[in-house]
Amino acid sequence: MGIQFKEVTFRYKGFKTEYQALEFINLEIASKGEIIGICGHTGSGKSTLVQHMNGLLQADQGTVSVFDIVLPSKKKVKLNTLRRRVGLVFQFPEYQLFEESILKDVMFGPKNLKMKQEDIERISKEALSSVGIDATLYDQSPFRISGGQMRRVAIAGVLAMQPDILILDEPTRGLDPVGQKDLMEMLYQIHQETQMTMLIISHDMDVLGQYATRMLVMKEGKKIFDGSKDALFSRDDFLDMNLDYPSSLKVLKHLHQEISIPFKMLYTIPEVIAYLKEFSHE
Amino acid sequence: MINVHNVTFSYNGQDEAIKNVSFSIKKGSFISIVGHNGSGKSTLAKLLVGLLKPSTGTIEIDGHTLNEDNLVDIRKKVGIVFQNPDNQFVGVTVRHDIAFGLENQQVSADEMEQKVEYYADLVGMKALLKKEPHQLSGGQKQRVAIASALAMEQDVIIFDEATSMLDPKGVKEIMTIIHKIHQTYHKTIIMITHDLRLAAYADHMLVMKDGTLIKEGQPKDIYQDDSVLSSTQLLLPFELELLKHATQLNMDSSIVEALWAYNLKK
Amino acid sequence: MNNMTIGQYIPGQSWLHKLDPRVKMLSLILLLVSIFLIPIQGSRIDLIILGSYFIGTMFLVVSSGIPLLKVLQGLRPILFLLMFTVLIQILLIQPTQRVPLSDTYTFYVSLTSITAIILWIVFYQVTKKWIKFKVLYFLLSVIVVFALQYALPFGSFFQYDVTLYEETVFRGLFIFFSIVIIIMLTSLLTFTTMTTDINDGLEGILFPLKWIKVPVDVLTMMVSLTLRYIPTLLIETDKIMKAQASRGVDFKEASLKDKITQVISLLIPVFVISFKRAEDLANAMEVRGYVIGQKRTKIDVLKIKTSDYLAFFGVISIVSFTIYLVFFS
Repeated sequence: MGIQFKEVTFRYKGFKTEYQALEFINLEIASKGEIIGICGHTGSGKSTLVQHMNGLLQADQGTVSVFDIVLPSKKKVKLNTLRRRVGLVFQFPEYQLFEESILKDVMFGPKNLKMKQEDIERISKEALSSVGIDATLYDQSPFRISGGQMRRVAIAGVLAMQPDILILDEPTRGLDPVGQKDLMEMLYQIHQETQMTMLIISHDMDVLGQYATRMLVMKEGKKIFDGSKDALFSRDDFLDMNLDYPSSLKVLKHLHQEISIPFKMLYTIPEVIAYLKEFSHE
Repeated sequence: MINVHNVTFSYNGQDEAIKNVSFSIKKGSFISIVGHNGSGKSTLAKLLVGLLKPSTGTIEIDGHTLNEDNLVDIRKKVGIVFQNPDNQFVGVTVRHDIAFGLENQQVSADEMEQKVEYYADLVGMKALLKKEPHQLSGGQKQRVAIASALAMEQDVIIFDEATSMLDPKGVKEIMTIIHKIHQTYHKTIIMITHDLRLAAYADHMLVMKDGTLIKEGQPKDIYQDDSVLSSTQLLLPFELELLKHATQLNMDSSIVEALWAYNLKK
Repeated sequence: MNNMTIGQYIPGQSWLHKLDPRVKMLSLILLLVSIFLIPIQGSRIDLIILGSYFIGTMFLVVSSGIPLLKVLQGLRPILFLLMFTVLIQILLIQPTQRVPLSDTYTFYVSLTSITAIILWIVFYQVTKKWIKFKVLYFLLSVIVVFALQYALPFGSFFQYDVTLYEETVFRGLFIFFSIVIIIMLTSLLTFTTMTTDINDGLEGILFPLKWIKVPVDVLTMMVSLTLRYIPTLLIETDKIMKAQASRGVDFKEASLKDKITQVISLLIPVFVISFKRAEDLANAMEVRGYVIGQKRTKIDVLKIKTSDYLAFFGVISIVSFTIYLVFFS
């Protein structure tokens, strides 16, 4: 169950150019429990990849199975059945806000999916509270709140559709450091509560290092790595992937070089401090 | 070069966005202005280029007090690169955009052609002069914005969150160019950012909070001042945060020194 | 999307490409006016004049290096209408002088012919996706429809006679070719002139309006900014459509009331982005020294060359000669 890609190939056809955006992608994503980090250079196919997961794009060759639905399909498929199960939050999602009030905007998704009337308002309010937007703002215009709040409202709009899998394209881009930290903590908490699988496209290796349980690396339309963080960062050809190491690993490498502290794969401040304490005679 | 005396500013009918701020910037220096979103940093930038008028106080640039009459002259001295790469790209092509400011200054076509090529080359965009903005990456568009400011030969260039919307590659491109124009061309750089890693490149730092200038000094001094940082909602980059904890926990001096070395070698 | 360029300009080195845009635009206007001056009476002389214009246009197409098929593409949207007009002209209009060019043919609207036509239309609709030259296929179909009406009189309940008269045939051909020439000349302008040059050319031609206080340079700046932002807006609109589709926007499955909300969900974000953009842009332009109404230089300076004088002289001659032939002989 979940999402399966089999030999998916997709050609991007623009106005004057065409290029291979995805080549023979094979992939399996479980519907519960994972936080998958997707990274790669700009233009490597990350956005194209995730747009196949909710039916916005369909493969030229190969198939994508999303729960029970297989695309491309000879029969007519109501794509909303896909979109209810796979939620996609685009980059700078605050641009999708348009309604008169925050609550109404969040209810837009469930309405389009024709969810039950009685449930729509309740579910939308739950989604708003899970992103930290409280009831006093429900009737406020979505254009009169801060940028960080707008982003949360936009994410709530997708959460209200109650997806099984949530995909976020660069969720922290453009936010200040505290905003980034708060957003990621919020997403992590939602993940912990619902065990919803989350796919996060990001260039921020510190964020992925801290939260991802699995890493997918794209390069020039091909999937070049699919596995654990530790395995990824130990690879000899890591730097050929156009990626950077998380800050924690860079510091630990430096400490290893300068004062011979054995290198260890750690990703958060508490972990590193705890580790360094072992080598410190206070 | 720039003197700000007791400047206060509020947007129409709202609370004061800038409260009694004073500071000086020496010619040729590299200053960063940091603060949380809403601390007044961007408002300050707009005041410095004359897009906003202070409610009280004065701003002096190169000896001239900024007022409505000398805006044209001030804009020959101070340029700015804004945050959104698309919303400041005026020209139909790279070439036209770099020329825009020169056209406004009524420079002759031949002189313009030369300057456009020269400054495009300086930022590495010479090969892309005929490209249209939607064919360019964010980093490339920001490079064009820098070339436009350089072409106007302004002494001071303000970068108002100029890298916030870019991917890491774009950020690196811009920081490299900023370095170059500071070191080689001796421009006065004012970099407004919420990224403390980038702000550390400056010689001198101003910390804004809720419209007030709460501290100024060298980045490394400010980063060690806990009271300042914790009140500003700014986060230390990983390596500095680590250093802070290691120092507070009185870890082995070898560890602390190695962490210092890592932080300083950037 | 990222490789599309604004406008229809196709780069090239022909003399037509190198002509000053002001000369090209004024010439186009003058030529269009003179074509309209040729009366559509169907006399032989007028057809010859038009024929010369046609040959001249073909000469321009060849020398520009733009493929003929591309130049003719501009006809596509109006082809149906054009055919219809020509057919009415030939078949239905009674000429003042009946000089028959052909025998009288009888066409039958009958059970058999209508059945055959319906079958043919179905066949045409089904097979047209495989045909490469859609326009020619369309013309062929029109001929087939009439041929069927000629060939199948069985079960006829209505018939009409068609005679080709010299006058109406000439008029039909006249209308057809004059429209083709007009479209080809206009296309040539847009294919051989960069959009920025068209804008600069327009500013150059309209500058006399400045004397009556029309802000020509401000208008030109507005056109220029619009041109600059069209591709960017298209890309952003596409992103918003995808974002809203991901929130369940599905035009086909929505009721009318929902469709309205869905359209609003596309329009409002685009407006919001555009207003923010306008504010930022105004600030950026102001800081870079732009003052509305103040004199500015341009990096692209249009210079008239000898070839421009020659070309314009040629156009004036053609137009004058046309006027002479039409009105004075």
